[in-house]
Amino acid sequence: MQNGQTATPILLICCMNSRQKGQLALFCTILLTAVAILLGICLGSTQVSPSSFLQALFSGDVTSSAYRIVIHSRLPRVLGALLAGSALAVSGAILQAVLQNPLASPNIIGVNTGAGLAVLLCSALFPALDYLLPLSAFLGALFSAMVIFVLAMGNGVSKITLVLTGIAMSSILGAGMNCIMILYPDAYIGASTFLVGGLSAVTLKSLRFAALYIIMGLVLAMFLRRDMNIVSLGSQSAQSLGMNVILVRFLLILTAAILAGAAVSFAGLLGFVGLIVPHAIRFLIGNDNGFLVPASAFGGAAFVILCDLISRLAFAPYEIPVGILLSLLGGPFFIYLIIRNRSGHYD
Amino acid sequence: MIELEHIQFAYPGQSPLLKEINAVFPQKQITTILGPNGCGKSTLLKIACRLLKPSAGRVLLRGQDIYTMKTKQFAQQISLLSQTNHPPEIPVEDLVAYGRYPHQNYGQKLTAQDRIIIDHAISLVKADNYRQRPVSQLSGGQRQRAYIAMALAQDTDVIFLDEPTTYLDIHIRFEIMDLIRHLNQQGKTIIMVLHDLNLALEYSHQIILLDRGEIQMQGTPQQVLQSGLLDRIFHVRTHIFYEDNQPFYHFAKEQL
Repeated sequence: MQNGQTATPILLICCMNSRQKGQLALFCTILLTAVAILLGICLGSTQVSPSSFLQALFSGDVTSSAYRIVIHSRLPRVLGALLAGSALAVSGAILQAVLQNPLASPNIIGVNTGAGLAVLLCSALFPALDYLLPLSAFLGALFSAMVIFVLAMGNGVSKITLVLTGIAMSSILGAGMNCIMILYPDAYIGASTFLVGGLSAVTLKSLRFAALYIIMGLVLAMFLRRDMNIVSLGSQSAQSLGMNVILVRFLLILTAAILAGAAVSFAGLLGFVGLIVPHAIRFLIGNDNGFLVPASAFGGAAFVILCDLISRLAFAPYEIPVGILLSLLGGPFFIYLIIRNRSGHYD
Repeated sequence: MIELEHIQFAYPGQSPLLKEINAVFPQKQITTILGPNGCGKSTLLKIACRLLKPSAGRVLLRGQDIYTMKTKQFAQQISLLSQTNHPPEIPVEDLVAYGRYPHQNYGQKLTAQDRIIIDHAISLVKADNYRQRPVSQLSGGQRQRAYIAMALAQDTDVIFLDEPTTYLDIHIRFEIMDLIRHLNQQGKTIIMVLHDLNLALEYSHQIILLDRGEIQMQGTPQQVLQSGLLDRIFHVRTHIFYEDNQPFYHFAKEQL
């Protein structure tokens, strides 16, 4: 920097190298997540001040209204948004790297609908076994992801073709979901918001197994994040750098499926988080997955918590499922991504 | 250094592309595989660097079958500059750092030693000025230099290059070939596939002429020229001019 006196913070950021930008972005997303958690717990139809929330938490006065609101209503929702947001964002980042396709995202290539069908099927056939939900969601997600992955391995498959196949698969699986909902209307609690994705039915109990899967998926993603960089170079380059490309790609697909499946198992078909968040972070810090993965985890958490807050407050006393808001934001963003590099980038 | 023994190869459901290949890539030399389009020269290169498994035959690196080596162990000895269509949107220095991958343990960060090797690779290809720019925004020649730097960071004795000068302007081709020659003088064994006969004859120690799935000849550029095989395989007439005892080649249309 030649002119130190007139440097603004913006200029400072421009002068940072990619590593420093990554660290800054990670710090900012962590801060944002903390703020979002606080807002998500305190704001709502009844305001709970941070002090009364903390008081309620530590005093253990289970009869106070603050305690009941926080523990039974706000906390499950914020936790659900946090888990679903980070899981879907990281799942999207992984799919974009492993398929080398910026348009990939769990909702767009049919991974969410695969998980959704499995969840509904499981809750229709084994209504008592709720601990099976994340597992079956994972298997459904894995099925869709593998179909797309095998297709992507073939030669001459363009990025758009892959997306179109995903959309076709989504509508087939979606038909299956609609069938189950009509045949077993009581199978899934909150089924009405399942198809658009929402968090109003989330309870701490429904989160406990999914949370285990998501934590496992995030840990796996953190282990594999540097390999994602190598995989994104293309299979020939990755292989000549000494990577077992088939194994690593499979592990990455598996991780993406665990994450997206677990999120779908309690939040329904939340869309576009896996598209919006990783691209927003990339715009800030570039393509280094070393930072992209953790920053997407926190960014996704903050994003979904805030979106859920907005969808709770915007039309109070009514609330809209957060999935609707996400689709309103994500749809145009998806179109923007398609248009941005129309000039043959995706062929 | 590297020996190909009785290599045969066919893509599934197709007639054999390589019939019976026996060749040697000598140590610390520049060996170029030449041949018409579709003769299988890129395939042969991929077989030699373990990207494709031959239908029969084996590849020996210092006498050891390459398929008995561990993937990382192999990548510590052989690097490949493949043809890339989708340049990544990452800074040059990050790309070069990926070259250290086969030398790192799992999840390990770059050591000071790694960083020295990366900086050395970047300065060797003269990419210092654009080391922080995204690879996707570079010119063709700069991009090729970045990829060569990645191969250098891999710190292997052998570098394979798959058509390193394709799509480049003529003066950039010479720059890249001069760089490759410089690497060879630093002790690297170079094996490459080229399209350009002039560049191949000017820069190679050894030329392997491939046609119809077989090696028609392996020899020095002089021997290849004298054999007259270039005329037959590429359907051209070769003219050689001398200026200050330097040979120059011109390939004219074959007369019917």
